[in-house]
Order: sequence, then structure tokens, then C-alpha cells
Amino acid sequence: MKRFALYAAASVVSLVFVYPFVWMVVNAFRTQEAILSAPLRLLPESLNLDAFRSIAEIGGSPISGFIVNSVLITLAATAIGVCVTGLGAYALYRQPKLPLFSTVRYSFLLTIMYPNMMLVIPLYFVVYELGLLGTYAGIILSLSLVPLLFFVFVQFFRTIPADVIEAAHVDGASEWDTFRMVVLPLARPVVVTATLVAFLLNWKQWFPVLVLSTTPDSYTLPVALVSLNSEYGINFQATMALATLTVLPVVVLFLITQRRVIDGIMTGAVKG
Amino acid sequence: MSSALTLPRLSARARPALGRAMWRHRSLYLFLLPFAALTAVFGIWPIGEGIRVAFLDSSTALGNAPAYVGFANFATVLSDPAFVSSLWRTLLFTFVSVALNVTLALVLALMLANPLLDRGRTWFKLAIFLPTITPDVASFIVWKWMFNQDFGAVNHALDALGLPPFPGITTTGGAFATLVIVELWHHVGLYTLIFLTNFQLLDRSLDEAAQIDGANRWQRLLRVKLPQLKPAITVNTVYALIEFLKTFTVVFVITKGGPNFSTNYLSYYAYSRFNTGAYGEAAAMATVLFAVVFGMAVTAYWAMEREAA
Amino acid sequence: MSLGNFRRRSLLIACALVASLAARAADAQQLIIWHDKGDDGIRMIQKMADLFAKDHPGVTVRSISMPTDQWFSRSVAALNTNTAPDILFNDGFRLVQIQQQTKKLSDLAAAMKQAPDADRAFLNDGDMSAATYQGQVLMVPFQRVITAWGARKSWLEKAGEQYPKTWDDLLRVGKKFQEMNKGVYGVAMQGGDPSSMIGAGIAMLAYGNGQKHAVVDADGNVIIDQPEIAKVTIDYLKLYTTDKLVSPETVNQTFTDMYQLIEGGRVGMFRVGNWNVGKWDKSSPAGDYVIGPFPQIGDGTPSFVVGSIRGMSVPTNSPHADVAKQFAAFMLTKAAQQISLEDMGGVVRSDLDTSNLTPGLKPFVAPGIKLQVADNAVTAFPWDLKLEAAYYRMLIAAISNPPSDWDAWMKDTAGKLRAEAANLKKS
Repeated sequence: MKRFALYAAASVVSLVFVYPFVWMVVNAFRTQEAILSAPLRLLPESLNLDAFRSIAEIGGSPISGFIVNSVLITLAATAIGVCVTGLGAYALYRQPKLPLFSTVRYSFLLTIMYPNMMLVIPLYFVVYELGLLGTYAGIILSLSLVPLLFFVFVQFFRTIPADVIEAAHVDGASEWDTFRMVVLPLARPVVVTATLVAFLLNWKQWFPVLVLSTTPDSYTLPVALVSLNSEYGINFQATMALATLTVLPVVVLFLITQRRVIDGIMTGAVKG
Repeated sequence: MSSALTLPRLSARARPALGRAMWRHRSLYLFLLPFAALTAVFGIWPIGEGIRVAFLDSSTALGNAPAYVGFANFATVLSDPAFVSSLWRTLLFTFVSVALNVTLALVLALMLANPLLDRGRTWFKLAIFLPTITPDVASFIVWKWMFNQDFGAVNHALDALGLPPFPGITTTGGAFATLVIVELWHHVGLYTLIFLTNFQLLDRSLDEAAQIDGANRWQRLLRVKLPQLKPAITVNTVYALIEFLKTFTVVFVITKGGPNFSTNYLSYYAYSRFNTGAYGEAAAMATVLFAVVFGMAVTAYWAMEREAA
Repeated sequence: MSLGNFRRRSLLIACALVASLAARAADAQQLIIWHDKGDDGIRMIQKMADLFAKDHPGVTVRSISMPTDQWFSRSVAALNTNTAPDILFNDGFRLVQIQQQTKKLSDLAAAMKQAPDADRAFLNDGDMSAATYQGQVLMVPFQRVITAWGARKSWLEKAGEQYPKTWDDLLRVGKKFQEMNKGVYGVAMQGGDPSSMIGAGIAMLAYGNGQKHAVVDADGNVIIDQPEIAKVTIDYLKLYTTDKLVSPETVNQTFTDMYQLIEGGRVGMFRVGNWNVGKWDKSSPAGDYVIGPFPQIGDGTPSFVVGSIRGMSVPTNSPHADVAKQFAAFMLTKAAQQISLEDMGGVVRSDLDTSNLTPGLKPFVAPGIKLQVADNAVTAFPWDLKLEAAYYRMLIAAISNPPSDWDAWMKDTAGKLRAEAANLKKS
């Protein structure tokens, strides 16, 4: 009985969390009239694909461009973020007391304390002064510092016994060789985890992309989604179709890799 | 402080040694360089830039000859009743959201950790965590429609259950509640999982000892588990504080600050000023919010330190 | 990846970059136009560009449509940072806002002088004053935005009512509509921001009753408590409060959400612009509405409203300013105007072929309709938009907490707004 109540409660709660996603996907295939007249219905009357045709072009730009942007920007920012943060965290772990090292650490901590949405406004000026406004480089570099990654890496490096590294040093290996031959093979799992986490978090990003773009040519899918209306109103079914395209890839990726992703985020969040 | 005192003494003899140490670890400096550069260019510089722009005349901020106007932007912002009311509303929203998120996360975590829930626990966990990891603009657009008075699912469902309708974002109180609910849905999964992870770190022997001593479930929860969870509660509270003080996307998508400016929280207000080219005022607002976040975070850390000592 | 391999790759990437830059340079005559007019606007500009290219070989045009707020912030930022497009296309009052923020729109007076006299002859004083700000011609005006009042045809029949001629008719019909069906509203309005509530609401009703001004008069004096204006204003606000004829969502809505309500068949009466007809010929409320002048309030003169003038502006830092100015002036030619009429409904010429127009658009070009032109307070007074923002705060607060005595509220509000205006004029 108690068990039944527990399962009932857990199921209801889960349903509340998942319902909006189901509703979104279903309504991507229902006509606007159908959605507005029977909003609760969870089985499409028929599979209506009009919306996917109508979002083939958004505001004069083909949707393929937004998809390519999303993939490219997310991948590039993730690759840069993982390499740079991983190396940086390793250096800080190896010799935290070297001159300037603590300055870098505190600078980083200060940066992540600044409300990141608010950081985007001054970031606009910085990127402008760098001449990178509206460029992929500007957008990618701005996204590549993912705070959580730093803690994921720091936590991982702490688990490497110091004598493993010292032993390599005694054998005369250079810092670079030690990193490449000893640390990197050990770090493979954490690199995979970090990559997954960074990919998922970067895919969500929309505000920096919106602000740092000068035209819709560099918009990603989430930004296209908030830009999906004109002075002529909004197509509801098309909105749900684009939302589905934006959400579905990450839901699938997350479900496949959930154990790693959750472990990764928890290491970063709890122990960092 | 201490480095300022010790440096002069070091400089006479230790400088060459310092240089040698840096040279010896030059590869570590190389490792750190990209990270330091990214932090400097995309972190520290914008923070400094934000403060600098707050002292500029907006119309000259992007030009070749920026004009400094002293504290004029801060004066404008602080004497603007809309800003002051925005600040208070942001704080109220933050406190309510933090309290609700941390409490509900604890309840959900206790539910998910129940040993009776042996099968399907992963699925329940995934469901609760899903909103955290998926693009928020997409789910907020869905929520906006769910709460719509004319087409929305929420009122249809309430109606079907014979319950009175929920005003959604059509009244100031309703809009506040709507945003609290949607943000709770969006974030609580992360805090729940943080609690769950901490449960696994709990010292089980204490719980067993209490059980042997005949303590009932509630006593064990209050006297044994909760005290051990204090660090997790603190961590979640600090995370949630920082998260909700900067609440933005949900306002951007669902209410645009309305109705009657009741959800015009600081981040959104600053953005709307930025959007119309009032860069100086926007930067001044961002700087004030930063000061608030910084102040709260420092207070929280200080409180934790004192607790630990 | 070996170092050699890496070098080879970066060389390849560099080559590709240079090649793409070179391709761009060869393509130097592509004009970029930013607007917020959606697919209809894109289609119209494309047709015009094809025509323009016949006399200007090698010139192509790409138009990009964005949501209005993004169009605004992007344009301000782009003009300030010298990354401007060639042309901005929008309503005059928005282009004025761009000019106020950036001071980087070209004076198009000379470019317009080069257009044939026959083309310019159709522009009247209203068009030109909407296009002129602080002595500069900011845009080539080429579309008059005409707004009418509309009511669902089948609903009127079901209710046994005629098109509402007076405000009392409107209130009665609206109530009947709401009684006939659950979950519908009598009237559609938008109240989410100043230009929604004032420009597209109160002022629209005032002009629709033949008033020349809605908030300030030609000398910049606040006139909201003049009896005719005050009556319009209070009647408008009561739609939200005592009459309850608009959706409660209205307080947050701008036009996009309002259209959702109209197109979703949830509202019986609404404003109809000549730019809406293109879409509404094809999909809901397709054909099921009748239009006419705005309902009479008090002793007003029911009218159609020329709410704004749309035009094309050329930023001073446009990459192809000369061609862009020619393209803007091209908007006044008969051929371009014909396209504008058929794709967006709005024109300035009166010598066009109207025989192929849809039934929905015909009433807008019918001879003899009473047209009232909106005033140009925005272009006349640099502080006007700030005053509207302040006024909006007072209006939305009154809807949130309705006063028991509206006349006293109006007197009080007018006093506050005059103080605000005096303040704004000083600085």
C-alpha cells in the first residue's frame, strides 16, 4: 500500500515534468485551428506536416542555416572549452602556488559570480572592440568558458594520486610528456563526460548568440525560436515544430548518455 | 594583503628565484595561458567594461570619443521609481523561489531515495532532471501557452476537475505565481539531484544507531539526516540565490515584464534599456545587480566559514 | 593529428576563407534590407528587386525580417558600430526612434528630388511630414497604413445585429457575442506596451472619430483631458475594467498575441489593417468579417485611419549608399507601387490598377471613404515617445486598479502628465 502510494506520487510528479515536452511534440503535428480548439488532446487527429514546411524558411533565412549554426557553434565552443579548461585546471592543480596562478583562479571565480546574463551586455562592447561582433569567432569564444567544466576537471585531477605524476617526473619525463602519457589516458572518461556536459549546456545558450549576432545569419535554433514572429503574427504550429527540432536532439543525446551526464554535473556541482 | 607585505622583502633576493621557478614550470604556464586569456578577455574585461560603460553617456558609448558623465547614470537609475520597485520585486521573487526550490527538492529527493522505490527510480530521476538540461526558451514557450487564458491547457484541466480557473499572467499576483511555478519546474531537478547525491554520502551508521535507539522516522529525519545535510542545503541555497537573482529568460519569453511592470525584474529591465540604446543606464543597473549578487555570495561564504569555525 | 597535417589543414582553411571573401567582393552589389514585415514583406521586396535589376544589372537584394524589438535593437547597434545594412524598412515612427538613438540616417531629400516629378506628385503633406524629422527627410515614404474596424460577419448574423456604427452598438454587440459562445471576447485590443495601448488603441479610436490629435496637440500641449479625447480614453479603458469585453491577457499582449486571438476565432470585433488583408484572405478569419469606419464615440466623425506611413531609410554608413538611395526612390514608381499594393496593401499612389484586388482589400481603396490621418507628434517632438511611456504607466496602473471616479482620475492624470511633459521639455 505504502509502496503503491509512493509509485503513484512519483508517477504524477514525473508526468508534470514530462507533459510539456509531450504536448510540444504532439502539437507540432496538429493544425493551428485544431490546437486552439482542443488544446488538451494528446493524440494528433492526423499527422500534419505543414509546420515543417512553413519553417523551411524563417524571416528570409533557410532553416538549414540555423541547424548548421547550432551544430557548428556548439561543437566548436565545446571543443575549445574542454581543451582550454582541462589544460588550465590541470596546471592549477599541479602547481597551485606558482606566481599568478591564484590570480587566475580568483579571476575565474569572480567571473562566474557575475550574473552571466548581465555579463552579456558588457561582453557586447568587448566583442565589438575586438572587431568580432557578428562573427562565429566572437560567439564561439564567448560561449566556450563553461564554469561547470572547470569544477568537473578539478575534481577529477584530485583523484589522481600525486605519486603517479611524481614517478613520471623522476623518470625524467617533461611536463608535456607526463601530461600526454600519464594524465591524458587516465582522463579519457572525464574528457568524454565534460564534452557531453558542455555540449548540452552550450546547445541551450541563446542570449549571447542573440546579442552578439549582427544579423540572423549567425542565429542558432533557440535564437530562431525566440525570433519566430513578425509584424504579421505568429504561427503556433510552426513554433511547436521549431521547438521540437530544438529540443529533441538534446533529449535523445541526454537519454543515451544520462548516467555520465548526471554524474558529471553532480561532480562539478556537489564537490567543486 | 599578506602578499603586499611580503613582496618588498622578497624582491631583493627572491626575485631571481621566483623567475627561475616560473621558467622551470614554463610548460605549466603555457597550459594555463589559454584559460587565463579566455578568463581575462571574456570574463574580467567585460566586468571592467560594464563598470566603465556605466560612467559613459549612452549615445557616445560605441563611438570613437566616449564621454564620461560621472555618476549620472547611477543617479538616473537610483532615482527611477521603476528601478527601485524592480529591485524589490527581484528580491521578493528570489527569496520565494529559493525557499520553494530548496524545500521541494529536499522532499523530492527523500521520495526518490525511499528504498521501496526499487524499480524505475532512474526514470523518475530523468523526468525531473529533463527540464534542466533542455533548451529553456523552448519549454518556456510551451508554458506560456499552457497558462494562456484563452487557449491554455492549465485552465482546461482545472475546469475539467471542477476547480476555479488560474489567472495565469493576466493579474500581477498570477504572473508572479506563474513565473515561480515555471522556474520551479525548470530548476528543481538540479537541486533534487544534488540532495540525492549527498544522501549517498551520508553516514548510514548514525541512522542505524538512531533506529536501534527507537527513534521514529520523523525524529531520524529531523535529528539525524537534516543536520548532516546542512552543507548540501547551503550549497543549494547559494546556487539558487545566484540563479534566481538573475532571472531573465522566463520573463523574456512569458511576461515581457508585465502586467503593469509587475515582473519587470532587474535583468529584464536592464536588457530593455540596453535594447533601446540606453547603454549607460543598462550597465549601471547591471553593476548594481552585480554588487547585490556579490554581497550576498560573500555573506553566504562568510556565514559558512563562521559555521565551520 | 600531426603537426604537418595540422599545417596543411590550416592552409586549406585559410584558402577557403580568402576564396569566400573574394566571392563576397565580387558580389558587392547586394543590398541588404532589414524589416519586420514577415513573409509578405520578403515576397514584396523580392518582386521589386527583380524589377529594379532590369535597369540596374548586377544589383541583387536580400531582405531579412526580424521581430520588431530585435529589428530595433539590431538596427541601433549596427548603425552605431558601422555594421549597418543598406536599407531599413519600417514605419516612420520607428525610423524616427532609430534616428533619435543614432543620428545616422541619411537625409534623402536630394535622392527624392532625382525621382521623376510624376512619381513624387502623389505624396501629400502628411506623407512628407511623417518622413521628416528635424529638417531631414529620413525615409522615402511609400505605404500609407490604413486601419479600419472589423466585425465577424457570421457572428453578427447569428446575433441578429448590424455592423456597429456607434460605441453603444459596439458594447451591445460585444456583450451578445460573449453570451453566445463560451471563451470568446467581444473586442480585440493590445495593451502590452506604450505603442500598443496608445498608438494602436486610444489614439486609433480618437483618429477614428475624426480627432486630429490624441495625446498632445500641434504645439506640444497635453490634451488628454479635452472632453472628446477624455471620453474616448475612458471608454477604451472601460473595455478592460467594467465592460470586460477584452481578453484578460490583453494587458500583456502586443499585436502578435492579439492576432492569435483573432485568427483563432476567439474574438468578434477587431481592427483590420490593409497589411493584414493579404494573410486574412488566405486563412482564418478569411472572408468572415466586414469592415467599416471606427464606431462613433460621442459626436465624433466615424473614419478610417491612416495610422502611419512606412518608408525606406538609408543609413549614412550603408555599404552601398548610392544604389540603396536609388532603390528607395524606386519605391515611388508605378510598377513598384503596384507590387506594394498587391503584396502589402499599402501605397501612396492613386493611379494604380485595382481591378485585381481581393474583396478584402477593396474597401481600403474605395473612393469617398473618410480618412483621418494620425498626427506626427513623434517626429515633431523629440520627447514624445518618453511622454507616451510615462502616460502608459498611468494607463496600465488604472487598468490594474480601476478608479471609482474616472473623471477625477482623468483630471489628476492630465495634471501629472503635464508635469512630466514640462520636465521632458526642459531636458
